[in-house]
Amino acid sequence: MFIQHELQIGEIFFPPMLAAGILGVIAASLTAKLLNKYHLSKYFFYPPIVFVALMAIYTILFGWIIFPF
Amino acid sequence: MRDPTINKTKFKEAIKISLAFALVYGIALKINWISPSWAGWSVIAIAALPGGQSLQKGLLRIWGTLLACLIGIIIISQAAQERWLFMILTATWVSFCGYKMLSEKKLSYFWFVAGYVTLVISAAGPSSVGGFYIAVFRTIETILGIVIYTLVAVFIWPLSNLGSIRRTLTELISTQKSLFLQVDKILLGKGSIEPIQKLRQLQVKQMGEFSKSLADEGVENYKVRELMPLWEQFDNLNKRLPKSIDRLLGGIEDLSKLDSLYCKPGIASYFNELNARFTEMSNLLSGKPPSLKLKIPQVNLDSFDRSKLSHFDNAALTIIILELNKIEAISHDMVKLAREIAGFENAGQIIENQNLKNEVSNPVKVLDIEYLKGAIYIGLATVFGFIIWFYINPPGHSSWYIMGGVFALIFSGVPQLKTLKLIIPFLIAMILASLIYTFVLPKLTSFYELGALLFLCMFAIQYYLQGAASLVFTIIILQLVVINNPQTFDASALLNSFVFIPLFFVYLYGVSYITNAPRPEKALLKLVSRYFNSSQYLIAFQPEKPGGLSSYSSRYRRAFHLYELQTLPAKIKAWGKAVDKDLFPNTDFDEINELGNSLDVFNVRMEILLEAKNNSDEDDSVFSELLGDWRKQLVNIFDCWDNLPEEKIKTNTSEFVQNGLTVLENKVKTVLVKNEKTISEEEALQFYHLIGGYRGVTEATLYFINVADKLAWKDWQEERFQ
Repeated sequence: MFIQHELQIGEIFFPPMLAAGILGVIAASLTAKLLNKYHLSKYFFYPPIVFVALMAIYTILFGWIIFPF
Repeated sequence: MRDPTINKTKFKEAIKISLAFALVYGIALKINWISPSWAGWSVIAIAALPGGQSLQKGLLRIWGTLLACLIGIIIISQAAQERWLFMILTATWVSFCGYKMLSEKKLSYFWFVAGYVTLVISAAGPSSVGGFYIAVFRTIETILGIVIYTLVAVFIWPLSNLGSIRRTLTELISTQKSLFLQVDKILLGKGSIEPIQKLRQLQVKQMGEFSKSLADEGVENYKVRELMPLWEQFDNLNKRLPKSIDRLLGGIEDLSKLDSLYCKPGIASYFNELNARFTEMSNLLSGKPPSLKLKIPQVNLDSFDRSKLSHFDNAALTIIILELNKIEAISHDMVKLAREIAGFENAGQIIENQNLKNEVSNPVKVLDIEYLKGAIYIGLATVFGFIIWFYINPPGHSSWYIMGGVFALIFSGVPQLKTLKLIIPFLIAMILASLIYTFVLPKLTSFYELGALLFLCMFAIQYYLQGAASLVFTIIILQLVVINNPQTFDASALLNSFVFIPLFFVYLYGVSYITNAPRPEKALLKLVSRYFNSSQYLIAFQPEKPGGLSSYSSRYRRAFHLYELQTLPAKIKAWGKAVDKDLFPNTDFDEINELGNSLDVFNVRMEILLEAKNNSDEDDSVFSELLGDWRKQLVNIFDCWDNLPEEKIKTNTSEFVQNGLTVLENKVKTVLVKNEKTISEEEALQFYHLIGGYRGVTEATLYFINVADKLAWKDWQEERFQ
């Protein structure tokens, strides 16, 4: 059975959602850059909201795969 | 090579600020007041300005703090146990303060303090050592900071504004004399427009300095304060001069055959009289008695040889004459006021010249949309910050609520600033401050050592840094290097602040989408669209007949669209500068500036047209059909520009306008020949005034289109991630 726990660097503890969130932001930024580069972003109505949605999706993905919270 | 004079002044000012800063901490710690940093904030807030300005700012800070204390305590008393009511009341008040801060430039700082101090007091809560306690200590520590700095500034290397009015006004009058000299040369066919542009820019800058010196010296000098109503009238008259000059130059630019104007004695005597009036004002300033006998040189159509001029040129000439007479009236009143201020005439009522009464004015107060968006941004930043603090309580805790409102108040004035860019500077400042907090502060054992440390930190910031860098480091020193008695150290709070700051600025960045801060190109497109929407309304609007009823809503709409026309060009220029060069490499920033300039020219022409419409009845005149056609064509053009995606209209519009002008010129000739014997002199003048106005607006539209065709509108319209 998986038991949720904090992550630890040295003596500093932080929640797994923070780590998943940081990775989610990085992944969403990379996706946004690629979409901009290939002019695919013009098909979205309001890209800022799409970016928030991408962040949420990636955070949950990373949370599910790497840092369960 | 550095200018040693500037460094000497900066050095002295840095010493004064640092000394006052260290002193307030010493006094506050000695008498055991809570949070000495509040007194430190007072010193920093007022210290950047010399003499009377800092005193004025200090007074605004005290009044703002008192109002904030009152409002904060009322909010706590009404909503201590009602979280949603508490949040709504605070957010509403801070939004209101934000709007007033943006709209009232003279009391801007008062409203800023009233807003953010309310947040500090309300966050303290309803306990016995909560809101009221914080409110009292906030007020007295603010007063302490102001008093200490004022004493230091008065006794150590005092700077003063005495004499600044005379100095700035002398420079301004000299520039205005040179300006009219150039205009005289142009009307004689000897000069060109280019030298005038630099003089106009210099005039605007010097007018700003004069207005500021009035406010500053007014605080220090009793004589100036006594005569302030007269000085304010003088300042208002001065501000009307550049407008008249702009319209005059607009009329001159529209003349196709300037060199065919023969100078007649009327024009020469006009400019001689004008020159003498400005010389008289200079002499009065330096204490000499008045020597000029005021004449009133009226310029009329007979002053020019019109035999070879087309009807359009006659129209442009009508505008030139109207503006010359206005400038004469303004300078006449300015000389009389100057004599009263200098004490050579009895103070009395200045009767406004008839020529000035017909100018388009905006008596109805309107809401500014940008300021409203700013106020909503401040309110939402406070609301969401409160919700985050209450329900999530991440690192930062109540700072999400307090700092959310404070920084939103600061950034609402500069909506083009992207808050993400501040993360790195803040983190750098925090690392340096953390080193002091961790390794230096624990070693200190007495106030002398602490005082020396505070003095050195503040001196380094004030002497070596300026602008935003100085503000960032000051905020960090005051917030991070927390000094209490007895001193405690909290490593957890320090580390949490490193997590809080990046998250906080990302949060503010997200909320700033309300003002389109992360997407300046979209903001620019919306502003241009709004500009032509307003132009369309004003062109189509027909003034009420004299004696007719006019509802408040129609007056408000007209005033609103006029206000938009007057304020949007500056906003377009500001947003244009913020467009991201990396995302839009095809953007030419010089062309964006030129776009703003073309809209400024458009504004001047619109004012002439609106004034002409006010003074005549288009529908009743014999030319109503012609003018109606012209009006409809302009409305159509503005409608096209209001819907920017229509590319085919953009490419064809310049030809459309050019063809339209030619057709209209032929129609004017036909109509005038047909009605030559039936129209009166007055009707002809009104007609030429209207024609001049319509033509000026059409020419300005053409200028705008030629500039706009070079810009990357398509790139800006495309949706992309920022």
